[in-house]
Formats: sequence, C-alpha cells, structure tokens
Amino acid sequence: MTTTFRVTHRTTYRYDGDVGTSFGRAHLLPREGPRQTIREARVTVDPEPAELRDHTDAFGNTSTYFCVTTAHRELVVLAESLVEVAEVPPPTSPTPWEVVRDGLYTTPAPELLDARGYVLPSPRLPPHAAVTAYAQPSFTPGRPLVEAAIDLSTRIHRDFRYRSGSSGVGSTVPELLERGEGVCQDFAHLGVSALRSVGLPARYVSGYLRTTPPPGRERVLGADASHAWMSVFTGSGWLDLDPTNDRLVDDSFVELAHGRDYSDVPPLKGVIYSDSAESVMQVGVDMIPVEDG
Amino acid sequence: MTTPATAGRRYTAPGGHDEMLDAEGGVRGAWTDIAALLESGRTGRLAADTRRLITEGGIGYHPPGSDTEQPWALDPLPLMLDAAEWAVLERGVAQRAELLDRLLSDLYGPRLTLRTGVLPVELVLGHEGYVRGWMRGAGTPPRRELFLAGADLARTPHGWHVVGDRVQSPSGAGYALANRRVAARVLAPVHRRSRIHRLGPFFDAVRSGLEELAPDSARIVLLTPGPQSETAFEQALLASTLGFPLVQGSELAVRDGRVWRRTLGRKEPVDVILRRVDAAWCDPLDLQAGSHLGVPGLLEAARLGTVTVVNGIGSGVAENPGLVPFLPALAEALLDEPLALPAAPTWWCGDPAGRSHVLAHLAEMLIKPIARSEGRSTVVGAELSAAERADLAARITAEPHAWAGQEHVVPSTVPVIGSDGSVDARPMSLRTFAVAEGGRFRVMSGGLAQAADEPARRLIRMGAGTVAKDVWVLGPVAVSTAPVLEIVREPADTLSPRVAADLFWLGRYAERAEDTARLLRAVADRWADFRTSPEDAGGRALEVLLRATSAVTATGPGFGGPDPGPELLALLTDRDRPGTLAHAVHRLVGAAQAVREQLSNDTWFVLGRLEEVLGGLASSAPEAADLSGALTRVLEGLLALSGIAAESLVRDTGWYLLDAGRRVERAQHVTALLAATLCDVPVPAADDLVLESVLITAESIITHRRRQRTGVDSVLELLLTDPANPRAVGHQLDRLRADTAAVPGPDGGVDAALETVERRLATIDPAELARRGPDGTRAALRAQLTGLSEDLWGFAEVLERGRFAPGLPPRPLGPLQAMG
Repeated sequence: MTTTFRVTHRTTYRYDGDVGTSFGRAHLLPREGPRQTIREARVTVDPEPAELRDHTDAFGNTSTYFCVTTAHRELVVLAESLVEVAEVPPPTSPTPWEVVRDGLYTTPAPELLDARGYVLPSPRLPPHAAVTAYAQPSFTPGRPLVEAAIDLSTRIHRDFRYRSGSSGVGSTVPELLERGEGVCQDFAHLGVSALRSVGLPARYVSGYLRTTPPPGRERVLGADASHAWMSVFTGSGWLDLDPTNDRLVDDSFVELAHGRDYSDVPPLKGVIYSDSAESVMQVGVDMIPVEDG
Repeated sequence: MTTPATAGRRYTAPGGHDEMLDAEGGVRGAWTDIAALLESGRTGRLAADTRRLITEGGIGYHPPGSDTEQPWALDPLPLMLDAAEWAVLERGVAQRAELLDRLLSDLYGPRLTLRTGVLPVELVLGHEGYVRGWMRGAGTPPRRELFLAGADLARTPHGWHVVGDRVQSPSGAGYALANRRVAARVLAPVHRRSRIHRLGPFFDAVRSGLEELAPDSARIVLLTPGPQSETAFEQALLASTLGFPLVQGSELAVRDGRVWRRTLGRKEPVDVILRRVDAAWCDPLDLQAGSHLGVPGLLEAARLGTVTVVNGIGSGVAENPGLVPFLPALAEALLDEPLALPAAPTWWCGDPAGRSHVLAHLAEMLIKPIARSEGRSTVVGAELSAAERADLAARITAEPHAWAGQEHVVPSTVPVIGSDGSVDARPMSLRTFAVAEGGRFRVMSGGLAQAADEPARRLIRMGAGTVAKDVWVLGPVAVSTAPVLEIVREPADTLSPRVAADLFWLGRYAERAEDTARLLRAVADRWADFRTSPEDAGGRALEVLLRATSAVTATGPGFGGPDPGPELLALLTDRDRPGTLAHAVHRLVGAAQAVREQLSNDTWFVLGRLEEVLGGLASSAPEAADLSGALTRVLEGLLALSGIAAESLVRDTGWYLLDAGRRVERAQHVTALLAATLCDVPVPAADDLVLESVLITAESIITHRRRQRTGVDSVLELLLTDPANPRAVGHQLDRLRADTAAVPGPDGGVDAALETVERRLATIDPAELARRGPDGTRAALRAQLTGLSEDLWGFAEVLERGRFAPGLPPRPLGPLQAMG
C-alpha cells in the first residue's frame, strides 16, 4: 500500500535594494529511500538562473547549485515533487541497545562503517554533559534499542513545549534544555545528540509531513513548514522517529535529505552581492496526497 | 689564541645531540667554516648585518592579532647538513608527501583505506579538515590533492623524526628563499667557498608543477588572504618569484561553472589556484558562511573539474597526528614499501590501548588535537598543573578520537647568536618542503630551520619566540648549473581592480607624506626663526602658518597654548591620528605591503628608513631644529621613493595609477594650502613671510624669485595655472589626463569629471582673484578654491568608483529557514 504526495516548497526572498548576483545551494529534492520513490522532482528559480545543476552529495542527497546573474529584488526558489511513500511495518527487534552499539566495531561491513560516522560529534552538535545526562534514563541496561529510542522520543515530546518561532535556526541543544521550548529542528537535534551520547549512530533528517491529516486524525505540528526528525541505526537499518509529534515516521512523511545535523542539509542557503540592507523571507510548504497514487 | 672578546663567544653544547659539535666537543665536518666564524669575534656584526638586510628587504612577519608587520627574525648562522645525511632525509620527505597524497586521493574517492579497515573511520570522519563537499563524484578520475607538502622534523639522539605535517597550505618556503638571500650576503665569503645546493631548482619545479596541472593553458593564480595575513610577505615573494598574480578572493568569481579573475575592464579564466587561504574560508557558499576571503562557487567549479585547487580543499585531514601510528601500514598498503622516515612515537586516543597509554603518561607527552582549531591546540603535558591535567584527561575521555599523544622528543641544539653577540645552544626544528612535479615529489634542498629563543622552550612554532635559520645542504653532489631564478613580474595590463586601487592609494599616501613633511618643515623653520629673533611680524606669520597647518592637514582643533612644540611633534609622530606625517607614512607602508609584488626591492629600504626616523623622534623630546633636521631626512626618503617611481618602474598601467594618485593628492594639497593662507584678512607685516613659507612648502620659491615677481597674483599663477610648473594644479591636471587615458577599462564618467576640474581652472584669473574685497578678505579666491577642491574630490571619487571599485562583499542570501 502506497500513498503519493505532491509536495511544493516555495521560498521567497525580498530585498530592499538590487541584488546583482545570487549564488544558491539547495537540498530541496527528495532522495530515494527504502520508504519512498521519487516520481517527479524539480527546482525552478526566478529570475531565471544562469546556471542550475544537481549532484549527489557525500550523504547521498540531491544537492542543487544555482547562480542568478540578473539584477533582482525578489528571488523565488520553487521545489515541486511527486513522491510515492510506502507503509512500513512497525519495528519489533528486541536487540538491546548496547549490543547494537558494540556491534558497530566488530566487522568492517560497509553499512557499519557508514554508521560509525554518525556516532561522532558534528558541527552543530558538539558533545555536551547535559545532553548525556538527559539521555541516560531512556538507555537502561539491556533495554531493546527500539524501545529505548521510542522512549527518548516520547520524553522529548513530553518535556519540551512546541512553540512556532520560539527559536532561531542557529539555536543550540543546550539552549533548548535551558528554555524548555523549541521547534522540530531543536527536538531532532536533541534526539540525535542524545543518541550519540550513548554511542549510537544517529542522523538528522529533513523532510515534510502531510499538511492535512487523514479524516479522523488530529492535526499535526510542523506541517506548515519543512519538518525535521531523527533517525537511529538499529544494527540492520535506520529507524526514523519524530519527537515533535511523538510518533514513528510512517507514510505521512516525505524525506528530503539526511546528514549529521542541520548544517549538512539546510533546505536553502546562499551568497548574494548587494547593497541592500534588509531581506525578508517567506516560506510556503504543501504536501497533498494525490488520488491516482 | 683566545682574547677575552672571543672567549665569551665560545660555544658549548648542553648535552643531547648538537648540530655543530659531536659528543666529544669536536666540530662536525660540515660546520668547519661556521665554527671558524664564531671564533673570529664577528658574531655581533653578523647579527647587525642580518637585521639591516632584513629591514632593507622589507622581510616581514605579521604576528596574529598585531596591526603591524614586524621584521622577520633570522639568525645569521645557517643549519649545515652534509650531502650523505641529506640524501636519506630527502628520500624520506618525498616518500611521506607521496604517501599523504595517495591517502588523500583515496579518502576523497573510493575510501578503500577505510573500507578495508586500515584506517579507523573516526580518525578521518571525525577530523574537521575532512571536507565532505570535496568528495570526487563516482567515476571521476583521481586528481592532485597534495601539491606542496611541509614536514616539521626534529633530530633526536636516535636520528631525524617527523614531529608534524603541514599539508593544508604550508607556509615557509618563501621565507626559506628570503633567508637564503640574506644569509648568502651576510656570509658571502663562506657562501662562495662552500658547495651549497641551490634553492632555485625547487621553485622552478613549483612553477612547472603548477603548469602541469592544466597542461593546455595554465592560467595560474596564488590565492592570498590579503596583506593582513601572517605570512603576507612570503606570499608576495612567492607570487613574484613564480610570476603568477597574487589575488584575493574578492578578485575571483565563479560563472558558467568556472573561475574567472577580474582585471581592469576584463575577466580572465583561471585554471589553477595555489591556495594560501585556509580551506574552510575558501568558499562562503559551501564552506564557512560569511567568509570574505573566499570565492562563492569555488567548490562547485572544482567539483566540475574546471579549476584545480592545490593543496586540495580537503587536504587538512592529513594534517593529523592521529595518523602517525597507521603510517607504516599505510605505506605498505598504498606504496608497497616500508615507511622511510619515522615520526616521533605517537598514540591515537581513539584506540583504547593508545588512550590508556596517553592518559598514563600525560606529563611526558605533547597532547595534540587531531585537528587544530580555536580552543584546541597542542598542549605540553609537563607544563600542566594537576588540575589542568585532570581536566585534559576528562576532555580526552569525552572525545577520545579527537586527541593524540606524542612522545616529547628532545630536539637537537644549534648555535644561535644573541642580541649581544653571544652564541648559545638552542633547540631547533627543521621544516622541509616537497612539491609534486614530473610525476614525483621533489624536495627543496634546504628548508626553514627554526630555533627557540630560549633553551627551555618546549614548542618551536613559526613567529612565536623563535628565530629562523637558513639551511645549507653541502656537496659533494655537483651544484646544478640551471640559470638563476629570474623574477617575473605580472604583466601589468592584467592588474585587478584591487591592485589598481592599492597602487593609486600608494601614490596618494606617498605624495601626502611628502606634502605634509614640506609643510611641517616650513613651519618648524619659521618657529626656529621666531625663537631666535622674536619679532612681531615673525610671530604673526607663525600664527597664520600654524592655523593653516591644522586646516591643510585637517587635524583640528590644532595648536593651543603658547608653545607649538608638542602639537608640531604630534603632527610628525602620532601614527593613530589622521592627517599627521606618521599616519601618512604608516598608510604608505600599508599600501606598499598590499602590492608588494609590484614594487622594486629598493622601496623597502627607503620605507624602512622613514619609519626609523619617525620612530626615533617619537621616543625623544626634540627641539625645533631637530624637527627640521628629521623632516629633511624624511623628505630625502620620500624623494628617493619618487625617484624609484620615475626611474625604476616600467611605464605600464601600474605606474600610471601610482602617478594618478600622486597628482590628485598634490593638486588637493596646493589648493588647500592656498585656501588656508591667502584668503583671510591681511596680517600687517606678516604676509610676505607667510607667502614665502607657502612658496617653500609648494617647492616653488626658487622659480618665483627667478621670475623676479612679487605679489599674490604671481603666486596664484605659479601654483594654479602655470602648466610649466610641476607643482601647479594645472600641471597635475595635464598629467591626470595622460594617466587616465593609459589605464584600461570602462570610462565610468572619469573623462567628464576631469573636464569639470579643467573647466574650473580655465576660468581662474590670478590677477582678479588676488584682489581683496572691502572687508579685507579674498572671498572670490576662497570660492574658487573651494570649488576646485570639491571638483577634485569628485574626480577622485569617480575614478575610484568607475575604474577600480572593489566590488561589494559577499553576504548571506538572507535568513535561513527553520524547520517546523
């Protein structure tokens, strides 16, 4: 059973002066994965860029480079895709988390070597004693990894208040612990950092959550923008969990890209040459199921 | 026979390995000539000669955090190495570079060393120098990762050991060249007698190695962080030695998938970039956001293969002490040969056994982060308190993969001449250099030796408490007869706007310094006259001149109180105050340093003297006569500078820019001088004295006297409209016409702006303007001079903006989007 979604993600920058040249780097095209198949995907930029090209980055994500050389005061980057998402059976593995942790170093199997890279600290997530302490209650000796990870996700959901706009894009995990409120990116960062603190490989995932819930289901948080969650290595694959909504990632989610933390996969970043002083950003995201999926 | 003077210069080695003396105190063969020099009692003289040549050569080093360059510290005595010993070292250094290049090629390609378990992934993926955006795409051919490799070596009682690799963007090769130029002159007789391997062939190899990287058309640039960089001197020296343009990131741009260099009115493709900007700062799009030193899109262009960047942006991961324990196995795996040159014993803390060894022996080790970064640098275990040691142990335990411990080897000692001429044994290290050319690594036959400034120093680092030494590798190998390395100056028709602006300002500051010096000297002379014969007229003339000085130099509020001495001295020596002579000289030196590769060597000799004279004044309380004498010496220097420009510079774009700067400044100065002295109500009996000082300041007194004319109208004619007087505003405009016509690029309104000034000057009637109005002032003159000054400012601004605008700095696209 699969669902097909049409995703549109429009970012608009407005400047109060002319921008002569604008260079951009986007992670806005969904990647293929065990849960999802990409049927269509494209990024368009307005004004028409002099260059626009994609490549696959070191994490396997699709990365888009563009360069606009027409003077402009408004830049629109529109990503549109048609993604088929499959249902996944809930994970049931009883393997204790320590076994997964220690198993990483037993053989140089490619997936284990790859996973070990995600145990290490990353640019936005340096080790922090408070995070290590936060992780401890979920990782009791011998507890199955799946259960411990779900517990961590549930605790984050319970302990922190979701408040849209409560934190900047540069906020850190210690700031979240201090303030007690944040957005999905902060929760994902905390989860990833906590998993690493006990020696488990963890990734940061950026993507989308369907905008309107299926009939009879509650409206979810974070659906009006791009979303982010965490992913943990289970010894045989990766399990994605959404601490913002305290649920396992299922066929209501579309993954864009994953990396060590936000800094590996920002949806859009860039460099401009301009004497304009101010810029205003506007983001619109829609993820709608299509009937004939 | 030993005289008391030489007895003090006796050299004794403290034990351990000494480079000059063997265990029995006998002089090693390679050192015979040096030992004889030490006995000669001339050591103090050698040190003084060295310092003089360093100043004259403008050989500088910019300590991090300082606002000025300081003279490079060089000991006259070279490190002597014999050929047989060098041959072994050379092979080891070349092999190490080859090994690290192969390793990098693998780490950014197939990663077999990780996949087969030869290297732990944590050591690579956990290193900040591992740049994921530098990965080669699947199916792309290997590229040159390591081009120029540096290795720091120490000789222990058990032989040479590597104590550190410099493969990010190694510095020091240029300083080695500068050291050689100085040492060869200071020790000329010994240098001539000895068969010393030359450095030239290494730099020839650098040049052809770079050309090989883009065989079809190698347009090569050296990317510099700019004149504020720690090693700006050697970057400029390398660029001029190699004959490649020295460019800052702002002079490059990525378009159509490749890198271009902005020049006046054009853009030129760039094929190869020799990088001196640290990797993280090379691209504000894909690396450190907000960097002004890089080029947005550089990584994209490199990924497309349209430009070769060396050393590769990802090469920092091989500057990694944690690699040391794995190098023997890597040499076998990647080169199929044993590792030739050992490193100081090192343990990586990511390995449990290594970690417990390091934690158990913290006090005997150098603790090194695998990647140097802010807040993380090498720690000397022995220098830590118990609490600091516990803290470090905790940091290592929290992040073991990020640390390594290196046995603190005892380096050899070498004789160093102290400031008083005494000779003492100091610990030293040797930085070697290898460059990829012709399918292999070629090693510089020499290097950069560095000795600590005190015997107890445990870490030897460039700049901080160390003194450099030349390295002489002796025969018997026949010395190459290749032609002497020639200095190739960049063709000036491809000057970048940045260099153009710096040359223009160099001209302006040189003229501003000269004009200010003349004005201050005229005032100092007037002051001296007045003190010896304090007549009424002299006193009033002095008053007028002091007010005019504050106005012309824009250094108000100016002279207060009865004694003009302190303010006058401040106008000479206060470097931090705009308008002073010292400020102009300081800016002049700064502008010269920014375009060092464009200037002749004599320039540094002159600039060094200028700073010396002004520095000497600042530290004393001189009399009027001293000021006048010092100003004469400053003027001598400044005249020498304009002599160099007139006689030693090719008439190319650079020269015309320099000249344009001078002309704009001189026209401004003369205008301001006339406005400040001739427009106000007359001061009885003082006017003639003032007029005389004005003519002296404008260097036109002789002409004026020769013409046997008197009066303000003739002065105005001589200084404003007379095209034959090289000091007249009219003459400056004629020169600016020629200068601007010779500089390529779009007009940008320059022509029209110059025409405005010319038209204004044409309306000036000296006789008319010399007349005083009913109130005693010359209002019409003031109005015309104000207008002229404004027109000149307007012209200079249009010239700068239109011809060599620096361009806007890169900025972030806008706020980043937060995720739901």
